[in-house]
Amino acid sequence: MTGHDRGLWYSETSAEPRTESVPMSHLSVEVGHLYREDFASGPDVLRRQFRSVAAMLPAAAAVLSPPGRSRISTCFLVDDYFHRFAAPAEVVPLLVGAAAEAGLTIDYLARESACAVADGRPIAGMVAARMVAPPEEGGNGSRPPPQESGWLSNGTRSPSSAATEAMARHAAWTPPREFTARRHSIFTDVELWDDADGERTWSSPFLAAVWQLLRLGLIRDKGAAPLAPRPWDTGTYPQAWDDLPPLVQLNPHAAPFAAYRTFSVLPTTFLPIEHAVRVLLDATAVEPAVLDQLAQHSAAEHISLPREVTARIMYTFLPGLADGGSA
Amino acid sequence: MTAHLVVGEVHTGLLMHSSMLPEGAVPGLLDLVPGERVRWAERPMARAVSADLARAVDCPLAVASGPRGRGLGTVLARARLVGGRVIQASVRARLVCNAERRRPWGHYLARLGDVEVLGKADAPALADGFIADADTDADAGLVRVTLDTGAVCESLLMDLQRAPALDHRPTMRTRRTRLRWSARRDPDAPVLSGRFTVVDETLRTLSLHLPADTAFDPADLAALCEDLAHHDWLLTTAGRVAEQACTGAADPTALRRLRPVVDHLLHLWTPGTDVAPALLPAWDALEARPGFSRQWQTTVSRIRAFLALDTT
Repeated sequence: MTGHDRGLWYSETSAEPRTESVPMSHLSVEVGHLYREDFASGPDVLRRQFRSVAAMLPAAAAVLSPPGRSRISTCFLVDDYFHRFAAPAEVVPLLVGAAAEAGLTIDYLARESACAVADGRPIAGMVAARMVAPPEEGGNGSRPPPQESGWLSNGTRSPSSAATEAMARHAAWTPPREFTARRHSIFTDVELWDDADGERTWSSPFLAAVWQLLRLGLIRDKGAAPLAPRPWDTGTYPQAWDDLPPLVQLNPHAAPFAAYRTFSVLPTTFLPIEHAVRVLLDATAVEPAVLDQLAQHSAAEHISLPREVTARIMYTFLPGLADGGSA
Repeated sequence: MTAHLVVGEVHTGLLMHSSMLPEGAVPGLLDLVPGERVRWAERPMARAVSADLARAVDCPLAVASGPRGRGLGTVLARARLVGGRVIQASVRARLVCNAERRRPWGHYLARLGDVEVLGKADAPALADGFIADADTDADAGLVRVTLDTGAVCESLLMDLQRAPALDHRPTMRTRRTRLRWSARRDPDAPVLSGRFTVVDETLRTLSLHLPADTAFDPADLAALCEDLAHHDWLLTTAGRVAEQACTGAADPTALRRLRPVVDHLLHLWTPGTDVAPALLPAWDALEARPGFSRQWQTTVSRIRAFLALDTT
């Protein structure tokens, strides 16, 4: 709602767009992702993981952050969503210690449940509402958007066998097709959630997509940043995960949590999950005002930032690390 | 790639509610995108606008002549409520010509509201084609295959009018109007120019040509068209009621028809609200000819005179 070029301005705050800016690092490095199974297999796995990350870090920094004084923050994600295990009082010191042995500092620790709901904000629900599936050929706006089936794909599905049988016994099978296939398709269909007993459980790839968006500083709730890191100064950690803030700042001198780009070192078993994450992020319409704001800020720092979210993400997959839990 | 063309459509109607929707219920009605704000302002008249919804499209585009085009990307839809009574659904898209190939979907979602045109279709042919395509759905039995901004408006309005916050007892029978519009940059246009056409009882079209130095923001262009559509709807609706009621005796039936216009619509005339200064010349031109506000004053005077007739 517009004022005038010159002279006396009139405006109403409620009518103005508002987008809070968040402090940004150049690079957010995920040094690990802990599931119950990994924890059960002992600290050696963690040590190996941290040693690998420490070895990769200089290369990633050289590729993804500007030369000179780059702002790099590290983060660690603990699963308290699918399977709760141990207690922060036990887990956090162990993580911090194992990282220190490898010369790493964990700046931020996040609880995976924060990707679903953090401080009462339904973050996963907000992201789900921003998903726009790629159009079928011929989609001209007249068909309503697809029902909320809880699935999202990167192409046209093969017709369901039940429907085909009902139509004709001889109906030819039609293959699925990836929209941007290069001759041959790699069709992916991702389950976003399931509902049971009136409760929605978000899938592991969906929460991982939210996690990327949080690290990239791309989520806002009515213009406000939804998840601010909170320091934890007391030295001892609680017995219950719920007593720990959703995103804890472990290192008081850390660079900002959110970053223009992300780098994650993950076990090879995560490859399909991260492929699904990319399909989901490719179908998530980030608020244009947020993309514009980051474009301005990065340009002011002489950093070139691709507009596509998936182009801001880098991974290394390593065999022989913690297997990761299956959700 | 060049973007010199924005197209859109606005559908305008009376909110299905017996009185002005209370201020407190407005954000709930227009809360289309969780996590985004409904924006509202009180002066010179209460109005609120929703956040933008994105709809994916991959379809042929109508062209007036020459090579065809296929559009791939997203259109943006939003809802606007004026005076707690007049509801609008507004859809817009920027057509970006000369796209070379289909890209991964993330490319399009990083440019919300852009429809990239594959093929050799140029902006003038697409603008004229979009306007000419406005009334094809009047031909019974034809299924539109081209970009259907009207269908997006319709489904949005239907959802809004079904909202549980509404009592679904409107005070008067009115008809929806739709305005289909295009705006393109024209290096040969020294000033803003174009054509506003009343096609039939409910359809209007607007073709705008903007000088090369005019800011070309799709949301601003949509705001201009929403404002024009709102006032055209007021003129159409009040004019129609006055025409029916003010021709015979000032009997109770006639008065019953006029009362809601006086109570609910007369104060909603505020041309130019929310229109960017660079686009106000569009209003100036329509005020000069045919003179929207002159006609409104005439209608209002006619209604008031008729009501006065009754009380004397």
